[in-house]
Amino acid sequence: MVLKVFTRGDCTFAVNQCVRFMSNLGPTYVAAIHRVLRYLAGNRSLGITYRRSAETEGNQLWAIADANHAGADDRHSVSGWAVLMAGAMVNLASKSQPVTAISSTESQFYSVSLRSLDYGYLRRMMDMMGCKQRAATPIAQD
Amino acid sequence: MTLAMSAKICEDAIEFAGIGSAPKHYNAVFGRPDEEKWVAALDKEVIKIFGMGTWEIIDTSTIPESCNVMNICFSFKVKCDSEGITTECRARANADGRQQKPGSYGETFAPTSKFRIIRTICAITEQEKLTLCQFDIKCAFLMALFKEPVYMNLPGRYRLPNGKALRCLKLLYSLKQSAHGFHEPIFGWLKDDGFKNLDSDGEVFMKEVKKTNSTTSEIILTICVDDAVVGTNDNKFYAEFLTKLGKDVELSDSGKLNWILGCKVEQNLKNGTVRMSQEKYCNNVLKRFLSDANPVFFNSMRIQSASASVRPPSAQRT
Repeated sequence: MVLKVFTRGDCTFAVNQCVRFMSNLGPTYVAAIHRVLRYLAGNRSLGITYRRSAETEGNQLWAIADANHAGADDRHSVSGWAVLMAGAMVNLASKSQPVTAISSTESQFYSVSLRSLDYGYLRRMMDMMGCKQRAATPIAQD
Repeated sequence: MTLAMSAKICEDAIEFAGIGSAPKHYNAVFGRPDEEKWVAALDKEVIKIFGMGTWEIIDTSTIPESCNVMNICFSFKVKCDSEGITTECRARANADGRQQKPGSYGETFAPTSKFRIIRTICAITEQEKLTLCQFDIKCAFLMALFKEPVYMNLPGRYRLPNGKALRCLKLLYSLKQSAHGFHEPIFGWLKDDGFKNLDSDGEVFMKEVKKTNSTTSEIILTICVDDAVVGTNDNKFYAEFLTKLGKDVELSDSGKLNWILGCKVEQNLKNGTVRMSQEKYCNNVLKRFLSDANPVFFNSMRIQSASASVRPPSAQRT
């Protein structure tokens, strides 16, 4: 299941949640894993496809970020984000926010801020690879 | 979900891990019903390693006091064909890295490329009209430079007479410095060849050469242990690079990138798409853990409409 970090962003989060309890599985988590496997059985061939798009859009990176205010078991907010390029996911992660947010708006802003850290890395890498980012990088946030 | 079901998953996991089919350690080989096969595998491995000149036999008196003599661990594996029939029993000699004292080895740091780097390269090659290629480095650890002396002894029936020990001339698996010893010469080679190491990620290399007709030939390269993923826009330039590298390192050129770390990559140059999927891996996991799964289908129409609406927000730049 570990290899699911490669191309299957759709079940990464579910797998990560289950993996936390691998050393001592309870029936809840066995059921959860069973459900992930059933999902995989129905969607074996899904993958990532990068497409060449119009030159103007070019190598434009952009990102989606979201946050779940006080949604985790320990009442932390969890933020998640994905970076997209050429029509598909390049990088994707979720993280329990290290700070306490007192409203969902605040936790959303935190997720954007966390997101932009990761962004700097990718932007710099792209610049050095010769794909200059011409414009500022948009982050979509709901 | 019943308890019986979870018990089944545990059983499958044990089988998957290979416990119960192959011996776990050297002493477990003896007294098994299939002892002969495993002993033959052990002999084969030991003869092979001696044949490659990995070890030389020396007197223990020549070993400096600061060095200890390590044991060799054997690991065992059953090789199966696609129908699950045992084709070969294989033993591999590993150094017992735990016995290395801190201070008897130097640097151990060895970066490998992350998945997201491979994904980024795939995405970039698409836009920059590059071709994806791959090659792998054979006998990776055996090319490594050896800085610190390592002394060893063999277990059981291969044990050398008293007063003798083995000195390693080449790196073995499981030594703490093996991966570093491999990564250092190859990175050094790339830098000498004019490759630029990216600041943001030390595992990515690129080389650009301006041609007379003001176009640029470039190679973007990342190495994941012994597999290299390459994006290039000039196949001739890349072939020259491979021949040059091939003189110093034993390579096998796999041509177009189609299989990396269990992930299938298909590049369609005409349409300009790169597709990555792990369908085969997915099938293997399901076969092992849940062969009679009752599949849950995700509505593909929903995916299509979702991906149609996934567009970068336009004209909102500040």
